[in-house]
Amino acid sequence: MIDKHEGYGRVKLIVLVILLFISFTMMGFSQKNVTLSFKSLIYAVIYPFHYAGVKSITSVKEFITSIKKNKELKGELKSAREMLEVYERKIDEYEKLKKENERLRSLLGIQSHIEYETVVAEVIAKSPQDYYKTIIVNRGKNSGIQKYMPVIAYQDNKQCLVGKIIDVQRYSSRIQPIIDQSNYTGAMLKDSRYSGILVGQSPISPYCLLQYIDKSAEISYGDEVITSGMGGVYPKGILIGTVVSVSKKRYGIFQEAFVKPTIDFGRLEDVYIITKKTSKEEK
Amino acid sequence: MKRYALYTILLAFSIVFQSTFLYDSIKINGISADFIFLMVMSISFFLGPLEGEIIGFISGLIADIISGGLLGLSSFTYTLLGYGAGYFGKRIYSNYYIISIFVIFISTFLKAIIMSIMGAVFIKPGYFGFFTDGRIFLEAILNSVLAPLFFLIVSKIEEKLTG
Repeated sequence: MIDKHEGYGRVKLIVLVILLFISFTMMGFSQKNVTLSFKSLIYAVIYPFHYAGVKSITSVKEFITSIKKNKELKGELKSAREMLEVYERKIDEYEKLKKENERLRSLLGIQSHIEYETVVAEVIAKSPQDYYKTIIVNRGKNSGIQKYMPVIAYQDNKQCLVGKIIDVQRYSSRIQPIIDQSNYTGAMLKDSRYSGILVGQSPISPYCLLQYIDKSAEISYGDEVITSGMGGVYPKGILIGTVVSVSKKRYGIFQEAFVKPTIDFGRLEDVYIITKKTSKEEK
Repeated sequence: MKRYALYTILLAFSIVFQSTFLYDSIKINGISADFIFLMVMSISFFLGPLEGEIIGFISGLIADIISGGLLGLSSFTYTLLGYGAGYFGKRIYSNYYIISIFVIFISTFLKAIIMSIMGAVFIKPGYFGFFTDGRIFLEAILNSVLAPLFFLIVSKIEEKLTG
């Protein structure tokens, strides 16, 4: 006869085996549609709570920061007003130069600057697990977002690459940033025009690795790296980062360079999802 | 019922907190303590293996879904570790706080070993790089330092609920 204690012990083990089996099966089917639909379904339920929770913690943090920064802001406001006057004059100059540039480009038959149609999205959360670098934004299918759309952001007056959309829900999307080790980006050195493939590094590394660069390329510290447009996901010419070190091995035909992304992912608040290239670029 | 509601809130808070950029700001050399793991382990330690494995499974699954990584990886790991913590906790009757340091230190390495094996099977060998860049040592230390605090919170809740 099985006593009550032994029966309880058996239940624990049976539940353990069942739960491990479910987890194991999910891992096996992780990239298949069946679990992706399951993920979407569960995330749709979790999303409102997750969003509300993240928002409240962020608001508390922002409130505390805002009190501290109040004094700094007053000083900054004064200098910003002075700067504004300078910039207003520069804008006038810029407009003149832009017109001249367009006129000269049309004379030379060169295509105009790439411009994109974008959707602005707010960063609402990041992966709770450090070994994934994914970022969640508050725009989804209802805003016309689709998988593999490129994502850019502006920081310190620079337009830089953030990553690409890898998962779209109704009201949210997940971005795989360029620093994620599963992310591969077609990239090139801005000045020398040598191209390679940019990959994310280990979960704690803030750098990316630019691989497969021709060994004959002269690379130096501070060289800018931009998207090459190869692979079809990212438009050509978006700033990725700068070279911080070069690794040239004695063997092989390629060299590698560590690239520091221009974007500071810790300060990322708003991003621009490129939904469409302009008709000029499509031509 | 009150017990489970309280633990649900604590676990939800851990998951949400780790999803904010505030969590990134408390990192040391890019590494921080794993609050979800600490919460799962401390609750499991006091509630037992059955509750531990269920709590581990649910928390891991939610973390997997939010992060968009390999679905089932954290649920698998936390189920096993939750069961282990519960099993071990039911055999300890004193010195919780000192024991928690050792339990969490060893469990952090077990977590890394299980995840590394599963990562090698389902993604690629060395994908998580827990041991190659040595970050697991720092994480184990940070987790162990915070472990007594998490165990204290759960033990106080248990004391209040059981009278």
